[in-house]
Amino acid sequence: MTQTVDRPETTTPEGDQTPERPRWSQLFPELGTGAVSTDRFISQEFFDRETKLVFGRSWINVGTVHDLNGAKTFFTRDLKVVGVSLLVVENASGGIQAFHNVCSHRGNKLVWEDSGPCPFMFSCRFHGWGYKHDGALASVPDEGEFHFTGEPDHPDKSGLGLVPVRTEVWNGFIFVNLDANGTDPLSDHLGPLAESFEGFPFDKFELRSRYEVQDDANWKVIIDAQNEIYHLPMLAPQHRFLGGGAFQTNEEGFTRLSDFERYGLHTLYTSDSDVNWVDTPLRTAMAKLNTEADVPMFPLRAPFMFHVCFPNLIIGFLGNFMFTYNVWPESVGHSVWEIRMHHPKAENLADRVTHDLMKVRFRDLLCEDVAGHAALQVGLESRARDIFVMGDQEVQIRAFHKNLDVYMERADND
Amino acid sequence: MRHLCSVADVPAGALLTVRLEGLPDLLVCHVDGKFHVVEATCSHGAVPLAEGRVLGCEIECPLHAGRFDLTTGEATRRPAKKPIQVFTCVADDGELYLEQPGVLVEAGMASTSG
Repeated sequence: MTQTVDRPETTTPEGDQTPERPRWSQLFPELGTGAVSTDRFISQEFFDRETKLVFGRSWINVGTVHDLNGAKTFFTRDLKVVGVSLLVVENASGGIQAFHNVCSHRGNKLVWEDSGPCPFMFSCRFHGWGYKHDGALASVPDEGEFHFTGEPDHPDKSGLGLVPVRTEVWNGFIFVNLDANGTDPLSDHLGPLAESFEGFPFDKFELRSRYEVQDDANWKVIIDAQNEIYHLPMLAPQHRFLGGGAFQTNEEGFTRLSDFERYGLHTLYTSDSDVNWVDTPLRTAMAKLNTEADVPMFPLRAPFMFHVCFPNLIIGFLGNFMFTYNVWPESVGHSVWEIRMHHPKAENLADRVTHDLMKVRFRDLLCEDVAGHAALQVGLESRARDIFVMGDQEVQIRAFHKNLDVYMERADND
Repeated sequence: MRHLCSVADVPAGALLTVRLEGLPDLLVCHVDGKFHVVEATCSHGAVPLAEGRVLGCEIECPLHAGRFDLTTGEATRRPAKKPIQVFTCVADDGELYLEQPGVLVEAGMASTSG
């Protein structure tokens, strides 16, 4: 359930630039305003707790239908942080199921390819054990030499199929939950975030590019760095002069959120555009060449929307462009930042060029962000300070850390 | 002689599984204008060879990629080792017939007439 029911209107139609605007800290007093310990970014103990309680028990987005190619296709996904390799299969009737990518014989990694059409059977390269697409063990070379009796400590073939992992698909996003004892459905986890996306036409998007960036920073440093627009007018030159200026700012040139929501464990912040922003000659020329590109195709409440789907999935929109991030922790100070860019289907060459220009512009912007992450991590690990502070325009970061604490406390007590 | 199928059921490059009572499942292959009939189940992994692919005059098992010669039944690539049975067939008036059911043809004998 959202926590915004009694919240008064926060913005004027022209944008959020009036002194009477309530500060976010007043609207969300439960988030507080004080400094927060940096321990969470640099402590091995905290990282181990997160690994066990969050990545080991929460619903985690491991891919999308764009990683499959219809019925009888698969992809594999290694989740280093929890030490698991997954095989995700779309079967002949379109159902999607994840399994542990482990042969039941002696534990070898079953499928080594990243993705592709399903082979006749998934066959282990070690001894040839073969599994059907539903995970059933169907073929054991030299089967007569085994003791498949079904007696205690002697599982038979029916008990030696691939081990399934709880899997659910929401709007094309494939989620798994590694807690085999858990019973909470994905809908419980998504809660009001799912409601906010009711009827949203995700299927109009195509995946156009994908990056995996090795990032020397704690996974939460990366999420925090993206989860605000305070830095947009400052970080230079890409943000300040090319991309960041498109966001709403006040008279002094400081960015202002147009909205912020808490959706259970998840958050949303939005921004309007800057009506005074003058774009680059190239982008201006492209806009003239492709006048259709900016006609809104999706029901967005603001031109820029940034959702954080706990724990590590970001779903963002910038006009008709959707970007998603999955931030994968690998160790306290190292993560892999997976970036995906989606556009509606290109109808013509002008669309293709518009999309490619967005790709390079967005990518370069994110490179500028990445350059700072490693230095941030060094600064935190130096323990020069043991606290960090946040302003009102960073309320969504406060909410993210609060949600993490609440989740871990709940998981600890379960 | 026992009726297998129509010639039209097995266009060039195709594989067709046929079941006749009292015999193992049979695989009919049409390669380079000739019809070959072999045991339909791989001798190594007990899987249907019809799901595999034809390479020249060999059939490759889809599970572990072992191969058999379609004319002699010999295993030509590991892990397949034990040969599969081959059968002879004749075509007559657009229909294919099994000529000598249940006979393992010796290596070198042709398996079909056109």
